[in-house]
Amino acid sequence: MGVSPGDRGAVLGKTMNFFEAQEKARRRTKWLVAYFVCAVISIVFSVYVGVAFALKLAGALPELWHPELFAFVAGATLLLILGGTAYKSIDLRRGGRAVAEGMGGRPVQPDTGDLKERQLLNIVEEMAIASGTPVPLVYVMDQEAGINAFAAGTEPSNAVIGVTRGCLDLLSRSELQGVIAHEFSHIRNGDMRLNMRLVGFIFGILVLMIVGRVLISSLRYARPSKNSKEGGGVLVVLLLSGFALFLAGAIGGFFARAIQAAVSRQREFLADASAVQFTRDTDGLIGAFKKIGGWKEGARVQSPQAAAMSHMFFAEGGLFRWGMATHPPLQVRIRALDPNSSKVNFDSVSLPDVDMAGVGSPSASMAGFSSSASTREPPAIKAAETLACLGDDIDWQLERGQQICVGIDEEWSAAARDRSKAQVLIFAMLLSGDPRKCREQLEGLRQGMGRKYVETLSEWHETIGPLHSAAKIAILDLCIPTLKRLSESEYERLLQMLDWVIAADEKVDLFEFMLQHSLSRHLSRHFFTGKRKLERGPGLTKGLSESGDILLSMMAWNGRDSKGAAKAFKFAVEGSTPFESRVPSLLPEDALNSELVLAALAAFEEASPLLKKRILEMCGHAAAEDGVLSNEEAELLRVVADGIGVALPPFLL
Amino acid sequence: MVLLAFGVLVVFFLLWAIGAYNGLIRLRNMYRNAFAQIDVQLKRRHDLIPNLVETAKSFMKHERETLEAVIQARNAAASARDGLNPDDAAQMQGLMAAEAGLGSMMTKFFALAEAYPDLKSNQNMMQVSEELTTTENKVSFSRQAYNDAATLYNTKIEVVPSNIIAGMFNFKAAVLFEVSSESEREVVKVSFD
Repeated sequence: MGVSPGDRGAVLGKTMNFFEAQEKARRRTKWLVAYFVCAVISIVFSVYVGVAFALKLAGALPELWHPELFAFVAGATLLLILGGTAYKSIDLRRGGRAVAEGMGGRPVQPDTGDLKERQLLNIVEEMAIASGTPVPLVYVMDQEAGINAFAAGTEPSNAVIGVTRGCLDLLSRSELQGVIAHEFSHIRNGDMRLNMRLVGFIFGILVLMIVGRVLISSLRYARPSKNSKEGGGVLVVLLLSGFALFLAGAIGGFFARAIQAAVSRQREFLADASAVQFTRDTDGLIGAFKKIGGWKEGARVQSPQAAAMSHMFFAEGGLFRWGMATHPPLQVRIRALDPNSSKVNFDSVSLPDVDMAGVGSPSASMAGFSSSASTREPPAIKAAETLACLGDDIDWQLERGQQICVGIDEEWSAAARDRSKAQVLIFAMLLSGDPRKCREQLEGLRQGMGRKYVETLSEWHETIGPLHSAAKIAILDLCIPTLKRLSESEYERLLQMLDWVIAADEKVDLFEFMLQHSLSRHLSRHFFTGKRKLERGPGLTKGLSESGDILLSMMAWNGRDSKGAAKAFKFAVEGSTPFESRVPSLLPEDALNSELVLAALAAFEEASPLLKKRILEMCGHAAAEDGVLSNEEAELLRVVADGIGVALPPFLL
Repeated sequence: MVLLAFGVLVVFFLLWAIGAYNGLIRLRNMYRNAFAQIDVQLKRRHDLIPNLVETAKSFMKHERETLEAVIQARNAAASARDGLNPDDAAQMQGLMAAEAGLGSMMTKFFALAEAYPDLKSNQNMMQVSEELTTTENKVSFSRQAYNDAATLYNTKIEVVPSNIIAGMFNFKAAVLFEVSSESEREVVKVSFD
């Protein structure tokens, strides 16, 4: 790559000559690959010696050196090694996404609203420009509190970059930039491919060990037939060959791992050097090393998949010891970047005050935040205004949205952006208004979640409970993007607890129905794409006219007696073209249930936008027949709108 | 016979000339494309600055003059960028000067902003300044790519024998995009963490 010397040299000249460093590391890597070939050759010889020795003991071989036998043994051994290597390589060819997802990574959406994630994506784009590689996919491992990152993939085009939550939350911009630049140089220097190949080789050598072990254990049960001296001889030969294979595989595997670690260590220096080339700044990378040293979690990665991938990470994840480290010590890496630095005292490194409790230990993921709930009065939101229009005036909606957002207590909108607190908010909105049942629910949650969390929950419940539903819905909307950041297991647990809380209430009220429906609509699509089929109601399918009747009847019956319901229903259908040109009829109140409603919503979700608009307008008319849109009616309209896939503006304040 | 040899020579010369000409065109397009990448980022930067000032306005009431100066520097840079032809040395010098001026104004602005903790912790401000930071970084990284491409092209039109073709068809040297003052590098450093 051509570099204008004046530009970068000025910045780098004083710290290091990275071209030289790259060249040196590359030369060493070649030597290490040569060692690897030597290791394979010596394995072939030692297997031969073992087999020949066994045959000689059995009397089948006059001389120790027997070219044909050697050719056979060498061929078989190489075949095993190459076969194992090929198998593993094909397995790894699936690319970086498989690796990242295997480690519990979550892809960062390009339109993310989270400032830190936005910053991460920006930095990745910058580094893509600086290094001249395509922009890789970015993953965050939310459950990892350590500071670490990895690059995976076989080609720059299928590469992914993953960072831990600790990395995202604790590092400053320039430090994160250093870490990302380091990973980019792994992509650009072809380290990923080399690493994948080394993993394949090691597996090939380990295959010998496996075959040897199988051979030995299969002979344990074989009994030599009496009087058959020859049979006994064959057994001895097989047994000794098995031992030879096993030993050669074990010893070879050990050295292969040591070599891999050494290759990896060299590559890390090279990547550090290239990272400086990309960012033109050593401070960021050094700062990141210092924070890893000072952070109590260090660079630890807990995912069980991480061990096999340790050489792909940014820093040692605490996985290998005894000279098998895949990364050089932090002090050495800092010294390599800045030869003038003195030994760093990691205890004095200051870390930003970020709440990392709840990351990493799944059982405590909802506990561990301060329980300083607000004692301020909940914002008063005036109820009731007739619905004017549905989604025509954008400016007006924006204004309303802003008013509602302003109306929401700062503390809650902040809480909605926090992974643990957002879950508490959801429960705070769900708890029963009946004090006795509420206590029961809290008790149940206490067993599931811990005390601290329940205290905050009950405080918030008191302040949030009386809020207007428009404000609650706005809070829910704020929570949804945050909840998308939960890990899959956390999400499953949240769902379980939600089901329990709602069931403990003994009756599913409108808001609960709405909340559960809205959560599962937005989140299961996010969590279960391609894995599980979306749960689509209870399997009822309804025609549009029937569905229209169901929804309109629900609206009409809501808060009215039979006379009022009939009046509201008539008001709603008057002047509208009926669906499928059938006369709509009001269903009796006891014929309605949540299954029917879900089926009706599903039917309209498939309908054309114009039909959706019409049914919404009709529902609106039914609700506002008396000229007033109550709190509950507004909620109900939101359920319908959300259920048929229309974003209804918050028209109430 | 002599005629035939001469004819062969002429054909070879023509083939070489065509190849060299096409090579120069390819390099020229490469650096122009690299400039387009800078241009995109510069435009984005110019679009972001009014947002930044708008957000800062309500917090920095006593810094009217600075804010106005920032906007002026931004307008100067935006008009220098507008309709710019990267082959025109004078226009490029103008853009570089305007960008340097804008860079030093931004440094001054961020230095002042340090004194307003409310502004620094404002969500909107944090977003805009993050976008601005990444745009600054992208400008400087794509500037490197542009300078590499331009240097490659400049070398090609100066060395023998391609300089003959360059002279015949009037290929002009590309202008390197250098930022004269240290200020632009400094502004990259400002971050809100």
